[in-house]
Amino acid sequence: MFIGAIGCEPLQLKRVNLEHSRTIDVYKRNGGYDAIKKVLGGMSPDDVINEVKKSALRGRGGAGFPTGMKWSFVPKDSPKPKYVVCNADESEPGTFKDRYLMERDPHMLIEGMLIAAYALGARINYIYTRGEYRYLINIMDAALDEARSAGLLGEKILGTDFSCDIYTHTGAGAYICGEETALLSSLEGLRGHPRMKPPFPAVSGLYACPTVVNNVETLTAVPDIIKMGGEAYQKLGTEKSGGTKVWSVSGHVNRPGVYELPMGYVDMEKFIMEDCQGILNDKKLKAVIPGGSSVYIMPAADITGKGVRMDYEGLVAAGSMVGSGGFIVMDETVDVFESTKNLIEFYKHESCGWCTPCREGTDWLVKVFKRIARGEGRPEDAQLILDLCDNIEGKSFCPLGDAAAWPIQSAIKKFPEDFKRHLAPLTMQTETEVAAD
Amino acid sequence: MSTELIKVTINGKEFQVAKGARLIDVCREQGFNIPSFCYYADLALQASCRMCLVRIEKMPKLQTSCTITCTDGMVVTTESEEIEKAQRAMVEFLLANHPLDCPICDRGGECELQEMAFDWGNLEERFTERKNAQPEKYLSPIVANDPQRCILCKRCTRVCDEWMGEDAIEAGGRGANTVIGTFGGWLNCSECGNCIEVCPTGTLLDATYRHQARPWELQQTVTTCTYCSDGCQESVGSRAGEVMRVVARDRYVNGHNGEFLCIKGRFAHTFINDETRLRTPMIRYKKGGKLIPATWDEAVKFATRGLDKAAEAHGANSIAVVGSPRLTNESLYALKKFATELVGTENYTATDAFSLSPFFQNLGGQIATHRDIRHAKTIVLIGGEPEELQPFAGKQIRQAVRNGGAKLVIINSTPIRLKERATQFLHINPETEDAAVLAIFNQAHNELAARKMGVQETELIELRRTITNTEGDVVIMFGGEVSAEAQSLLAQMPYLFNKEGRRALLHPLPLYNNSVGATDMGLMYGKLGATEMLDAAGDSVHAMYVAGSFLPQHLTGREDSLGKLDFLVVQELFETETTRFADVVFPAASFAEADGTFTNSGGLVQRVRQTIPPVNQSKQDWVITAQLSKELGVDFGFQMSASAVFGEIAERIPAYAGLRYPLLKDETNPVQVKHATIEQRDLSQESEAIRARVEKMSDTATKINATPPVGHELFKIGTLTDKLPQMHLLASGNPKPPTLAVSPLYQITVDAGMKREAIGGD
Amino acid sequence: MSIIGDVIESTKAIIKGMGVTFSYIPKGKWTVEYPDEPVTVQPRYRGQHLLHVDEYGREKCVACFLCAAACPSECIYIIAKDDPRSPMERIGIEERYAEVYNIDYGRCIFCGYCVEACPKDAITHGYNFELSVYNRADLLKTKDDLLITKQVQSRNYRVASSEEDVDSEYKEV
Repeated sequence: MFIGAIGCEPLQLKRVNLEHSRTIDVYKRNGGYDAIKKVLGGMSPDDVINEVKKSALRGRGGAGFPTGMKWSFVPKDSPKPKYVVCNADESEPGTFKDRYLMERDPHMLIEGMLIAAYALGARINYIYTRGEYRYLINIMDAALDEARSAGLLGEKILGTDFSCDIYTHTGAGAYICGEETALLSSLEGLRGHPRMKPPFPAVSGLYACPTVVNNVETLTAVPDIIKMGGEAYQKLGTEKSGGTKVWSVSGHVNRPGVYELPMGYVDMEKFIMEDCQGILNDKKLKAVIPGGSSVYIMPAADITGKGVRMDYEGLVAAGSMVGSGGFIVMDETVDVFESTKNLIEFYKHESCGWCTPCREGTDWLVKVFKRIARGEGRPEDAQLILDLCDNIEGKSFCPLGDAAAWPIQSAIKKFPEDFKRHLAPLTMQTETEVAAD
Repeated sequence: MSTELIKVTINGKEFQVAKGARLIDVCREQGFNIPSFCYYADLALQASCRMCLVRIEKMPKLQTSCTITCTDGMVVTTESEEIEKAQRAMVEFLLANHPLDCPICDRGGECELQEMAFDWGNLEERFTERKNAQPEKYLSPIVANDPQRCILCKRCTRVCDEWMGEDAIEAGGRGANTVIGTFGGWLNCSECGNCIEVCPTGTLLDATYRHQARPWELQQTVTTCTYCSDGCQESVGSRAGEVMRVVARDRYVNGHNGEFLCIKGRFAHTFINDETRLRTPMIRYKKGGKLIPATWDEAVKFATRGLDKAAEAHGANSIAVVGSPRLTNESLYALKKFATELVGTENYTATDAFSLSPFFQNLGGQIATHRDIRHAKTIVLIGGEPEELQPFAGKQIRQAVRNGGAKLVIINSTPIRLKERATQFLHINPETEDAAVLAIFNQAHNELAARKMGVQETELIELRRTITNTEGDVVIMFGGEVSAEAQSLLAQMPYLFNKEGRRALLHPLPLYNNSVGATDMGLMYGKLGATEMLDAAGDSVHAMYVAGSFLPQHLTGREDSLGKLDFLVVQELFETETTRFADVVFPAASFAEADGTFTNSGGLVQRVRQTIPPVNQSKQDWVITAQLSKELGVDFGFQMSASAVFGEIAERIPAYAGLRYPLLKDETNPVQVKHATIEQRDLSQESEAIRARVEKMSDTATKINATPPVGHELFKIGTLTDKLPQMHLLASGNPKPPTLAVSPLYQITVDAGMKREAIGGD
Repeated sequence: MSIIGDVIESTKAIIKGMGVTFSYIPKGKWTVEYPDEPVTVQPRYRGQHLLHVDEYGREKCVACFLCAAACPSECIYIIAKDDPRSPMERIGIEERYAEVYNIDYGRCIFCGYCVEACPKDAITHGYNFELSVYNRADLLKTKDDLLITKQVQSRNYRVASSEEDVDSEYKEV
């Protein structure tokens, strides 16, 4: 397992490998809480937002919405309280970067949230972690206590008029609560159902008050932006995607881990073959899911020799997305039909049941996949699956429906032979294939 | 919603629509059929069924029209291949796990999913997998549930929360395993059944009508409910002279109550065809003897002879005529006419729990209809318990507060459930409602009233400030707790609070469907009240003609009074305490067998229509009265037609002037009677009387702190509700049966140990 | 045209007509000797209705009223009832069954719409055709007359096998 930066100075992962990296002392000794001092020492909230805008920082949770823009949507003159909520409900299959950031460097998140709270005028802020990350809550709470006794949280922070506090909250283990409005519902104590947009959370979010929901990695990027300045941060990456991105690499590579790469890192093949030290057991690369399970799958042919640039625009051009940066590598032994079946079972299990297409569609898809896996596939099933995906995509209430449909659509398109083999009538299959099923 | 108009293009045609209008409503108004399941006017938006998808230019995906507010220059397409494919896909998804057991489903034939499947369903079913089976079960004695048919539109949960404020039914589970269920697996609520009504599929079903008939076999008649004073419009489904069910579905009836009904209105209709209904007229030839069935001719002759004899012996005033606030206006008018014009007696009344005559005699403003309550800005509720006694008024109050942002001030000696919604709750000492009225009428009495009521004086000041700061309507509602003098003060309050931009409206909360009508028909203005009349029995009153029965509260302590009469004529549905002493009993027709009108607490006069022919040998009450009068030699000229009676009412009673049945035909636009308002008058006498009474009240009363349980009035067993077996289960505390698969009726026998004290008054 | 011509023409016609008549004399007879011999009815003959039961003897009818709704002569009368017992104890296959199922053969036109409408294949046309009665009221048949387990089948008919070509046999004539 490798944790570190490639191709740039580590920003997010600067302290993660140090001893006692969780403690405030280690954090402070390595440049921690300098940014908040700088902010409170004379920057206005608008200055902070401008700096973030200049940095071209884009949301690291999956959608990639420009963070500065999101912050500027919060109405300044609203009489209601405002909230900053950290989305640590990292449930995307293949993604585990936030976990390491919070586990090894919790103070960076606290500092990022403090700056965000200052920029938006929030008094009370929440860190919402997924139910399975309960142990992280202890780490975060310990860090929050440290910060509180160091005068970095609570009333009159660092002797200024700025008061702010952060609380932790765990979900009950639902993927849907990673969707920002469902997260807010869950945080309010309601069923974790997504809410209607508009109104967007920036206008009416937690308790119908202006709220900004940001991913952990987004918030931990903020201190560095303040310290080095927005423009310098942006220059680390490309024009539209600034800074660095943390990738969670898993699957059939010799060195999985958490990698920090500058935005626009070239190219993906080099990344897999050199930085991740190649495919396990010297097998051939078959496919890569670059951004967590919800994005399009990329076959090896789209990677090898194509010079895929690893940033938002580069991956879209290559036929996929950055998503949450859950980089899943699959070698030639993988049956894409089976891996897709595994994914759709996940989405069926995690569909919240609010809207028809997602609830019924995923349930139906799982049944079809299971039937095919039983050897009862029919040649027309491929068309049925594609049609069902088409009926889910774009019609569901929240993006979970889209996220369930995309990987299947791309898997069928990119790996038709894996599906054909299963869809052929049972009698056509060889005995070994049946046994393998 | 502002009146500003904006331009919207739908399917290539331009329309001027009000700014802020909802797209789905606009499209439907303009005749573009947009399917939907989860959208329901005046409920929170859901946007989960994804049926109402439309294409809006400049928007990336198909949009749900139920969530879109029209903006200027919007270009909308509602019909295209892409949209139809999406809608067909949604129906296909919904039907995937649907059991498709329409032949045994009670909703079959009036099911929205069925209709949608006709329009947007595919010919072929592509879903060949095993369906997610879920067993049928009962949620309560009157709500049956088949979760597999559910499409999770959540109308039921929203109605339960927003209309009833009970939140008794909620979704559980996740994803495809989501089911609509209850806390603890058993529905303990007011059992209004509105979740059944709004369900677009056969998921929630009426357990009292379970597997009884199919909707297209039923004859649907629009009529008015016979229980409380809200006057809900309902559709009675009957088949072959038998009432099978009562619904308020939009497709059959569109009254002021929408699809709202309460447990009594919706389920407690079994009395109509009950076995124990009186079958023939009966005569008791000898005092203390038995009632013997007789022919109508014989019974009418016997009755008139008896009344004649009493009049000859003791004079006309010895005959008392008693109506019931359950009867139609026509029957009550006939009784009043019988009393005043034929017999010439001053002793006539109706057996109401309390009289509204002082209120109507002093009326100084308009009566608030239920629609006014919904849109009121401030509601002051003095006494009463609408959520139990007038459930629709209770719903309107809740919606006014929740959806309309109204301020609700409750003055009550009991912490009623509605207080959870109240902006201000004045928890007063028992029986000090008059003090509150006095203080509102004249703030000089604040100190005295506050002391006697056991509240802070500041609370009364705040209450007054709430009223005087209101822009819009103030509705003052009061229950039977206030005295006659206090009613007069309340009736004159519009003169105190009316102002430019503010209307003070009044809304009495009587207990019976036609309490207001009984007052309007003049029956409540007799010399004696019901109890006084019973006390006078055998003394100054020697014979009585009673339509309906005395209430149990009238008869307690006066059980023998009726026995002291020389002669008693009763017309009733069932044998009651009153018929026990009757010399002649006529079988009367229930509301389902009668034509006529009821006047509700909002002053709306609404039609009662004959649903089934009179059961057994029964006749409508006014027909019996007319028959008696004919035998006594006076023809009322009703010509056996209820509309002729109503024509006479319209001629003689000013508030009803100009009304005819055809004008009342449309239940969508109910007509409010024009109660005469009197000018502001000096009420010092009344207020002085109240003040004197308030001063005598104790300073140290104990307050009632327990919130009464749900259904303590709704589930009471009375003469009519007694005939619904399920009601006995509810009245016994709604025990959870051993298994939910079978109706609790077959599992639990109500025994004496379980029964709550049987009290009348339904 | 002379009278002689008329006589010749009509004589020709009579001979032609009688020729047809006489040609049938040697052929086989088609008269059905009912009731001494059973009548052959076609497999899809629409006789008196039958209400079917499943393999456990439970009535297939769920009292959905679709037959009554489809009936153009409104001769079917049903009263549905709820059966709360467990599936194997029930009278019918579902919780709802027809407590009363009457067909008025004074009105029935044997159109077969009820059979088409039935979603449960509970009602079919049987082959009993001897429905004449002495009393008009007897034309009302109840469930006891219609249930397949109770209806007495007449011995006076024989159902043609599906291969048997009953139709063309008659067409030949």
